[in-house]
Amino acid sequence: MQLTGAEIVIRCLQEEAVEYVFGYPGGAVLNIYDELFKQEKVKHVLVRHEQGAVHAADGYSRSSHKVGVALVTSGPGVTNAVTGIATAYMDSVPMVVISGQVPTHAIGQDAFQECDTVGITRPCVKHNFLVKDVKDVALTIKKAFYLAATGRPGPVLVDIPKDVTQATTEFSYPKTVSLRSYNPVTKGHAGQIRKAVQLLLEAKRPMVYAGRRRHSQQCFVAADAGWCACSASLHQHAHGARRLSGTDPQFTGMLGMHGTYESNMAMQHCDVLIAVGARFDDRVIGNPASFFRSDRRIIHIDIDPSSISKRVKVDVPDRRLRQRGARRDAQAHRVVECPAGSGRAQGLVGRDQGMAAQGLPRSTTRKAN
Amino acid sequence: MIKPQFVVEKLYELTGGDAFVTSDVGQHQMWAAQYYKFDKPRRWINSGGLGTMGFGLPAAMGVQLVNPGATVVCVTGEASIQMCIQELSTCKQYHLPIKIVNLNNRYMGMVRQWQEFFYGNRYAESYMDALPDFVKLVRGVWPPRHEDRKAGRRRVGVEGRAEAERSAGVPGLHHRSDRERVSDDCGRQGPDAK
Repeated sequence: MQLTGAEIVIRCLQEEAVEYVFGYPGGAVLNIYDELFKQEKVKHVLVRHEQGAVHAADGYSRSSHKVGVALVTSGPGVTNAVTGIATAYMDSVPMVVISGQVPTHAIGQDAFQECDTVGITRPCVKHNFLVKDVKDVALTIKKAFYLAATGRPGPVLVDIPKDVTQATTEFSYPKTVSLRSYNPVTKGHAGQIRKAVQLLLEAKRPMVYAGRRRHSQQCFVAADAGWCACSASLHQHAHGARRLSGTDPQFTGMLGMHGTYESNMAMQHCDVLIAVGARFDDRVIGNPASFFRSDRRIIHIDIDPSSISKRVKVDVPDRRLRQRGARRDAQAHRVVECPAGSGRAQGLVGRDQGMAAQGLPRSTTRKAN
Repeated sequence: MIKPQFVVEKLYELTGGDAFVTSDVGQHQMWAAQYYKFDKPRRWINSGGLGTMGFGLPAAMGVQLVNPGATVVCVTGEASIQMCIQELSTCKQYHLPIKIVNLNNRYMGMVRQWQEFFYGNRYAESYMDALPDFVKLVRGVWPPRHEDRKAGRRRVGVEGRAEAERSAGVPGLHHRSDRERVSDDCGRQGPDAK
């Protein structure tokens, strides 16, 4: 059956089981809006400013496991959305932004409400597309959802010119998609895991620094957005026996510039730091040179290889280690057999135990790797 | 005068730690992060990386839509809320009972904090003069219905005098009054404070 580009966009959203689209209509997306109007599966939320649409899609995504979707028009619609897109990019929020564009023949002609959308958004999206042929619409949207939600999540923008939404083609939604140059690995590296487990078995004062990208409910800690820290027994952590929370006595609170004394001191004086889905950003560790005055080993678990040893050189770069895999592997290494309350667990620093009483070492040199 | 930290602690108690809390950027964000104890995942929603003022209210709309029965609170400041305040109209259109806690200290608090630390207390353009009456503003967007006013009013009772009144305008919209603004860390107020 022949469908228009606009119909295909809506069919794709239906196929992706999108419940809500946040957006604002305009000349370049009117065909898409007309198709939205003709169906009831995908509900539209009309905002008052495109920034609000993208932030709403962001909040939608952060508080669920779903991909947020925003729909904006060309030119000012896109430039208004940029703040929201950059916000989602910085916090790795999965999102698909569909933007209208002037007709393909008018691109580059300084047409009404034209801007270089892919150019403007390039530095603040995980990926973006300009769809020039109606035959590519379905595959591109499939790719966009796949890219947004896999690996290190992020916003993906699909720019669709008005004539593409009017043209017709045969519709079929691809079941799967593969991109030759994009293969996020989620399986742990056996050698690095062995190293990490060895370090943790020897650790006297392990500390967990958990960020928003931890990708696992089991290692949940409170203050989100990569600004949090907690001290926890490896046993509990690796075992996933319980979820870490803001009321846990071993939770030391937010870390960094505006964080608690306990968290920052523990970060400095732990002997093994396990960073999970966090990126050692400047509001957390301040100056990397000062951060490194303490003697500690760092295990960094992150879905994104480019985040590893970016600001802080780590000892165990478990870049391909996801929490779920790590837990399984740690169990395989019999970590689970170490009882809680063993020497290692007792060495933990926690708010309730009192930092000063721990007799924390004050080393000023860093151990060479 | 209410300590903002106390407001957040009270919020934690009232919501049983079960609310989705969004925030904008500034001192109120830090107070929310420090004093609301998040026990469940995906409850603390704020722009940590880019630091976007104006994030809280629209983000709360998305949160409320995907979690229809949940309590969604936007902890904000008088400067941040004004950056996307037009979305109050969206909340009205879709009947989103978002609670807004406006920690209004009449300053861009974080800017002022840095000016105190590093700029010799020269408060260059960080004083928010000519602030709207936020309660009236909300009521202007979403006029109160009698039954909402009756059902929505709740006394929080902060040290026996402060009253965090649910704005009668929006069903369940919890709004800090501009007239009863919060103090900053050190108990200071704006220059016109009596």
